[in-house]
Amino acid sequence: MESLPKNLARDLKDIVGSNWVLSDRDRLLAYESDGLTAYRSKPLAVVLPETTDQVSRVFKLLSRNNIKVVPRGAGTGLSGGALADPTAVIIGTSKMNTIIKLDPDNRRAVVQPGVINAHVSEAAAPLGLYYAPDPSSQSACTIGGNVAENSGGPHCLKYGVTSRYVTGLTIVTYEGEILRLGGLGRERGSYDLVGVFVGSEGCFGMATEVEVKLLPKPESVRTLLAIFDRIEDAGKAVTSIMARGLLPAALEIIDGATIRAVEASVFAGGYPVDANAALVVEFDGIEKGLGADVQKAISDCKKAGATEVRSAATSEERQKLWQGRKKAFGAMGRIATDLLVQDATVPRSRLPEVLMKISEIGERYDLNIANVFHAGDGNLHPNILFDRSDSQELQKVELASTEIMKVCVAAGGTITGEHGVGHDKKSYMPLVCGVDEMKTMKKVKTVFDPYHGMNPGKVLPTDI
Amino acid sequence: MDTNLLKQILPVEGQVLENFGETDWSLFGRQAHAVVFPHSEEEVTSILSVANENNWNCMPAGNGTWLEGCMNTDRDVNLVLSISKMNNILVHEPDNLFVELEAGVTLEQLQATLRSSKQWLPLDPPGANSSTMGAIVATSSCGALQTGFGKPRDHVLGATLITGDGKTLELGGKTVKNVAGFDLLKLLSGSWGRFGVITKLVMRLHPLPEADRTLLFSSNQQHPGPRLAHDIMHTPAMLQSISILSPGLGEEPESKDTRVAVRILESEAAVDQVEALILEQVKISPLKKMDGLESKKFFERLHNVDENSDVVIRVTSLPSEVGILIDQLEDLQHLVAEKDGFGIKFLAHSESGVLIVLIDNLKRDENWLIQSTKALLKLRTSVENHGGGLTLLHAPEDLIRAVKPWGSLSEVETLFSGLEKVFDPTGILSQRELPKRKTEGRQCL
Repeated sequence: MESLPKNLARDLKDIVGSNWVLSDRDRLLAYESDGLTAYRSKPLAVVLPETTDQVSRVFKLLSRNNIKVVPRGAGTGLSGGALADPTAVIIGTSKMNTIIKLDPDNRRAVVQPGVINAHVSEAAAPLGLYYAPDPSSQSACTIGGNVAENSGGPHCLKYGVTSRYVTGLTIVTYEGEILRLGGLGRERGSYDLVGVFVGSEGCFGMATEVEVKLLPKPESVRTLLAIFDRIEDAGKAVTSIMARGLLPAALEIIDGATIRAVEASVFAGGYPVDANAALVVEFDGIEKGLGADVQKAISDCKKAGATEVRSAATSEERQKLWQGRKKAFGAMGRIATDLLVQDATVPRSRLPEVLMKISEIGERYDLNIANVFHAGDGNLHPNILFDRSDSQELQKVELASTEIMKVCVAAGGTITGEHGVGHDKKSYMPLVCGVDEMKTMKKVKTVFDPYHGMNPGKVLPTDI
Repeated sequence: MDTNLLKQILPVEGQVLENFGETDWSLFGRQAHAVVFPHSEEEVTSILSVANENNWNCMPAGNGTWLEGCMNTDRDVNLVLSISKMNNILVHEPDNLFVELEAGVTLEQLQATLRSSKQWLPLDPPGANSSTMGAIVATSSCGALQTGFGKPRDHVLGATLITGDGKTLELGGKTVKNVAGFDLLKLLSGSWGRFGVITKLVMRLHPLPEADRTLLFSSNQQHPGPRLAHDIMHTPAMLQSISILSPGLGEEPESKDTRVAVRILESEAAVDQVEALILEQVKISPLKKMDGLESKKFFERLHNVDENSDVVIRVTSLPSEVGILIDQLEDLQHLVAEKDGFGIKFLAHSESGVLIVLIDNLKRDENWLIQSTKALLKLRTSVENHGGGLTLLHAPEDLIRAVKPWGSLSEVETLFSGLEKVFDPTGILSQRELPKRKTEGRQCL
């Protein structure tokens, strides 16, 4: 393994402080993978700056030494986006965790990238405001990581994904240049640089300050749990609810395998263990409008074959219903040593047929695949359970994953809805993008990062 | 310019227009050599290839309603490429809340189709009836509904773009969530055709709201418009639009006071409660309450407020600074010829921090250009010093030349320049070029 040159280590420590340059093998262990543990590689070093100026100085130093950089938030990403090879340096945002400004007059917040997603809403709550995008990992994942991945979450059905809420950015390029993109009310020229930067997976530069839009907290929230004997029936209920013109804040399906894993864990949400699907339906908004919407949704669930429909009467019950959904991935640790959380989207009406095909793929490869997903926007998360130490099983997981991606693309969907391409899915990119599209993406990256020093080897296949 | 080359590509009569009336497809009184109307993506690709080979300056357009908007007046236009004949709605999947259409479809045509499925596209840009969807997206044109539903970029799921060098790019998809690769789709919105011709779009749809109610408030000394709008903005509910209207806008007969219009699009059950929350917040009664068609028509009238304006300016700022900006418009009053008695008119979408300024009767005495230039540049400087921006959307050619459509791009000039070269390496689409570059762009690998 390569080691960080002593003079470079000294110069980096001069910028960020001696405690914040990590290069010991033991300390690098925590940075050898992100949430996708199937790929592991220790970086050359980890640097933990605190300010935009420090990031700029670190980048200038590293780019002058031709060392590539990989930005990293909390490491909760599920596509290997924060994986660094042994010649690259990880720039962690864990010390850039200050909420710089809460501006209720303009309903915005300015935060450093290492601020945890849920902390923004917590800080804004006394002002009657909140930050809408809510990835399942929101208690751990960072705003910087959300910007890089254009993260979604259950409530994106009604409110949209991260890019809708990021209004301005301060970024640092690989060469250390500090640029301000956008900003609320700061229209200069007309190209949407903020829009193209969000979701660039750390390949264009690193966001060091993020301006986000906040929303008024909804007056009321109503949550339902419908239980089904067949997952296809839960899918039909979703279609009926949307087709009648309702717009729930969230529509989430949890399959039988996931229900049983959750109920056997400390995250138990009180779901019946003999059910084959549960549908969480949530409405928010003005109290008077919600009652009628809830009744219509209950009726749709029953017509689709729900055996039981529960309504959360209290905030605690609501949290418990969501607990089962949000902690599903953690609960699966009980039934397998390793878990590959896949991510793809299909048009909503194609969900039943795609779910059947995924089930067939699982049977054919003799793999356990559990499904928990954002049904309202057709965002599937087939979870493949496996044992990484079994090389044959690992190979089957890769083959099954490829087939699942092909099925989703053939149904009019795409290879990732909210986790990003990262390292994991770059070989799938040709399924959804032509050569001209990928070459254009590479050229746009080159505009931001002419020396290709940012997060190398991610998103685009190497032969592009 | 040899238009026979175009006729070989576009064989159908009427696809190549060479002789047209003085006001048709006018670019500040001048006209392009030809206006072409392709019927397919293949034809668009061929036209751009020929334009590249012959170094023809080419301007993408829809129905030509904003042809002179943000135009770079230093360059002649050889060819206007209108996608108005590519106007088919291709796929509408109500269950999946999306529609795929050719970019020449007008917003009015689209809304009429969607209505039968009780769906709509919540956009209300100026000139909405005749604007094509391609033009709306390319110019990022939006109205009062941007407060509740966002800008065109927030509604576009996918697009086909023919770049300046004739490449066909399929961007995005048909699903709401899609993060496969870098989001080039975002660059189309607000590109003013600089990156290519948008030929196809996939748009995200919404259920048509059951109730449409507008509350119209009158401002006075105790409740000045910006203060009233600010208070309404802090109602604990999602409001779809909050607009401040200057005297002379919005009502018939035209009002003499500033008005604040709030639009509530909700379920039948919720609309009364939202109204009650607003009234509790502002503690004054509305001048007028409009429901259903009346509410809709009120906002439709606002779509066309700029059609007779000599100058149209878009100012962006923090929402909390809209009131300061409105006060600063006093400095422009001397530019108006006293004809209709209203002076400077404005329409502010206050929660979005957007202020549209209209000068209907620009004074044209011997010093008009110097005075107008000085006043607008002073306003732009003031706005930029407060962190905002001023875009001169429409004005007499001399004024555009003097003021330029956009202000300083500061540190992002290099990025803008680099992106333009990616999509249009030979610069045939640069009729709406952004301000002159200080640098030549970065050295690329």
